Amino acid sequence: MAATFEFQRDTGTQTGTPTKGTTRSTTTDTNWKNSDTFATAYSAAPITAGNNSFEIWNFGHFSGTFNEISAGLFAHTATAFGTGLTLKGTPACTGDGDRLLYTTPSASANANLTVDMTSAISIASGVAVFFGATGPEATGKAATMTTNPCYTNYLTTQLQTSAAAAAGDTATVTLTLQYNEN
Amino acid sequence: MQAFNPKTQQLEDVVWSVDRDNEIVCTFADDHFLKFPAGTTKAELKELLAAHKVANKGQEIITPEMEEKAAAQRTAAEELTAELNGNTMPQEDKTDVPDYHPV
Repeated sequence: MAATFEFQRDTGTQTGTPTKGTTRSTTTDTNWKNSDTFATAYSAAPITAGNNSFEIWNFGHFSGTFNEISAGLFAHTATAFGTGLTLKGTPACTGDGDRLLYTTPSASANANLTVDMTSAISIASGVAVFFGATGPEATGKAATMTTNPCYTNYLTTQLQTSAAAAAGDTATVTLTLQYNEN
Repeated sequence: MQAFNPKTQQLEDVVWSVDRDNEIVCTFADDHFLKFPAGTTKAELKELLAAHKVANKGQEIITPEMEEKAAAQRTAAEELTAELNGNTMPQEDKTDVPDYHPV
């Protein structure tokens, strides 16, 4: 047997302590757009060149059968972005206190997203990801987790653009979440 | 004030500007840019630049040339394994077989 994995996303106004999104959804795509509404197609909410996307608050969710999830890494691993695009991402989580706390998504530059994910890099040099029970917002994150279900910390990203950004869709890039399970 | 360029893994001279949303933008010589929130003070900017350097030092960049090389290697390897498995007939030949007319 193996763990069952899915990406999930929080959206909406921040709520609770620790903060999380109002709405939690399972997602199969990550399209940066000028909206925080989960169901809005990116084509209906384009980012004007020079503006930023709303942050996307994705995270990993593990269920099914497993003993332990560990060794999490997150990075942009394939395909370059075009000119005028900068992708910012969540900082490394190397301690429970490092986990990024949810804030209501907006199109303002988020200074907490300190990692520059614009270039593809080897996953080995990606940021560390921690795991925990209850949800991405919850305390108790650690490098190795045995609770089931299990969640990563928030894997937040924001696409920032300059006036040099080309019109139309960006290149389709690969963001990788790597982990061990046993 | 210089900024750390993750692509080159070096501190570089940058051009500072303000965008229409009053966000502070630093642009590297290769046109890569970083944005900082509107209202950021000089002291805050120094802290953010220091955090940016720490967060991005050690990235092992995969260039488009490296991706092309890896893709070419994969194609060559797939062709080789197909050949080793005996699947060597080009696709067009499979549709160009002689008609069979049993007597």
